Amino acid sequence: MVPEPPLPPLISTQIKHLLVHSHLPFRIEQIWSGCKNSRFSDRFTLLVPFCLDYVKWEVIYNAFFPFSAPDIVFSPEDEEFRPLLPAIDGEGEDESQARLMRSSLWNWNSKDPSMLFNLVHELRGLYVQYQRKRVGQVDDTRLKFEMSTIFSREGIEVCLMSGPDKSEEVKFVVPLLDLDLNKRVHACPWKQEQKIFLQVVFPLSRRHSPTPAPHIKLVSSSQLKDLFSVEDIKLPSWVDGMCMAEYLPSLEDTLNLQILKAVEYIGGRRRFIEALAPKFGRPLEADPIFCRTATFLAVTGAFTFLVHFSLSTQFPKQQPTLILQSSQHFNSQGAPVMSPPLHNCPWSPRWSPTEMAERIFDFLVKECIGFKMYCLDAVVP
Amino acid sequence: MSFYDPVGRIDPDAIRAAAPAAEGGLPILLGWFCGRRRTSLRPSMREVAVSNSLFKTLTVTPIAGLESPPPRPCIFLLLSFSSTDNQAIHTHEYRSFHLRRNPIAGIGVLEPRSLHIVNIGPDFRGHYGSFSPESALPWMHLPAKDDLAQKESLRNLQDRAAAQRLLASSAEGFTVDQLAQLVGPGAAEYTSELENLYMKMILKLEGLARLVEKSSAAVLEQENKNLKLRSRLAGLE
Repeated sequence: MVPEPPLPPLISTQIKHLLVHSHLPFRIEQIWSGCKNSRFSDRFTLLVPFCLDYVKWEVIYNAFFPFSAPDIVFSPEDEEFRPLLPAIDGEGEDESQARLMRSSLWNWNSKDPSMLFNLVHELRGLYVQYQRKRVGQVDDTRLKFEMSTIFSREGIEVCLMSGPDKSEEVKFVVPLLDLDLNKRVHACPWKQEQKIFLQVVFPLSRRHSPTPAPHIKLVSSSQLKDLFSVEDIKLPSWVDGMCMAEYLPSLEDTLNLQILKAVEYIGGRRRFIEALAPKFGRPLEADPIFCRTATFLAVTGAFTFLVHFSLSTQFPKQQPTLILQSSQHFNSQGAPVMSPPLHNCPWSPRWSPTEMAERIFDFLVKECIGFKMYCLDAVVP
Repeated sequence: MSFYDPVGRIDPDAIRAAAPAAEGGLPILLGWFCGRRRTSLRPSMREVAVSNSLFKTLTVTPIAGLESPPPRPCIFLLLSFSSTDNQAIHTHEYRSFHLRRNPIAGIGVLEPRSLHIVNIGPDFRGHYGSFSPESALPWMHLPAKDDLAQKESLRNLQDRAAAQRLLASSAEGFTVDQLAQLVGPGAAEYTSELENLYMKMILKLEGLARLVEKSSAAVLEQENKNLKLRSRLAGLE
């Protein structure tokens, strides 16, 4: 493969602006040049986050005309998405004209780094409306009821999905808890706003047989994992004949409690790490915000090694995982010798932090002899 | 973007300048095409808009004196080219679309249509078999035995002048008389004349080829200059 040339500065500045400033996780998948022997690439695939998934848009610039506005080819299943034409639901010529005049394509200026950002966000907004319209046209009484009762909530995205093998489905993505999760964590390091979504997929049955229950799943933005995992949350069961407007309040109550607990757990982990200090000395390194990890230096005779503690979001219900790392023994690749994760230290969530620390210390006093032997074995003779 | 803007609106002046106008109005257009390298063969958002604007913009005034209104421009041809890294295989893809107005939505929808391309090859022998040659040159009279029988009328002279001009466009310095000698029973004696004609035709072709080459080089040079200017303007240099 001949490597593709780089993007010209005008385009790459616009892409960088989009990726850095958007609150949505846009991604660039592939970059290529439309012309052989060109100095610059001018086409790329943009992955647009939508409905907890991505849609692929092909963005086409022209390196030979650096000041021209780009064009976009949408996915094959979105042929009916025509953002430059009046929308189907009776948007008049004048309204559509006014909308176009406000669009960034109307006054395209390649030297403005925010141009692509604006264009893509405008189009994504139209795409969300377009998908809503498609779902609105589905002839299904339950779906129509769900939409009429739930669309008053903000930020809901819906889409119609159909595969060649599967029958049609409608996916709802509902942002939960109208609160700023970032503010719940002291000295919060998250740059992007963290969110929890409920994904509800309704299978569409052609027959008038009893309507099947929807598939429900909780999804969170990725960094929230440091605080708690949505997979640990037990979803309330979906009773036959239920609708989302009924289901959501109890789920949000459960989530709210879970978040309060998760924030409390940070304090519990902090107290545990502090209790380790009198026995092990001050930690070399510790996660100051979520208190999920801490590393201590330990010495026995002439053997020095590190002890890595990792604490789950379920601490103290789940015991910490320990990994020992020698500071004197190295394997053939030159990496320090490490023990496999140790889960078998004595543990009870009811012990006080001081007792937990003492028991682990005693456990390690015994364990370190075995670890020294393990290190000697692992070192190349 | 020659005749449309970033949101797909048509510039009628640009179209008027590009195609000589029909009687008293805009030219009759069948449609338009777009070639873009290494891209998916699906109409882009702008192409859909341009097709719609063309359909709408160019059909407002019916041409006086014509009973039925001119056909609306409704054909869209999408072309894409790509080649392998070593330039061994060049792929030329095409798809054609027909714009049909959706009566409910009031917007035109591009529907794919199959496109039949007549090409060289065994599959198309029928097309070549049915070919009948047509010549623009006048019918050559066999040389008359009696010179007096063929009077040099004015009409005849005019015909000859026209034929001479036509012949000069493909071979320089060859007269109609010489050509006339090549027809008829005595033609076998004139093989050298035939070679002469051939040579002259080739000379003419070579001259034309050189002209084309020169003008292409000039166009390319100008294109490169324009490209450099555009790049400099965009701060790419």
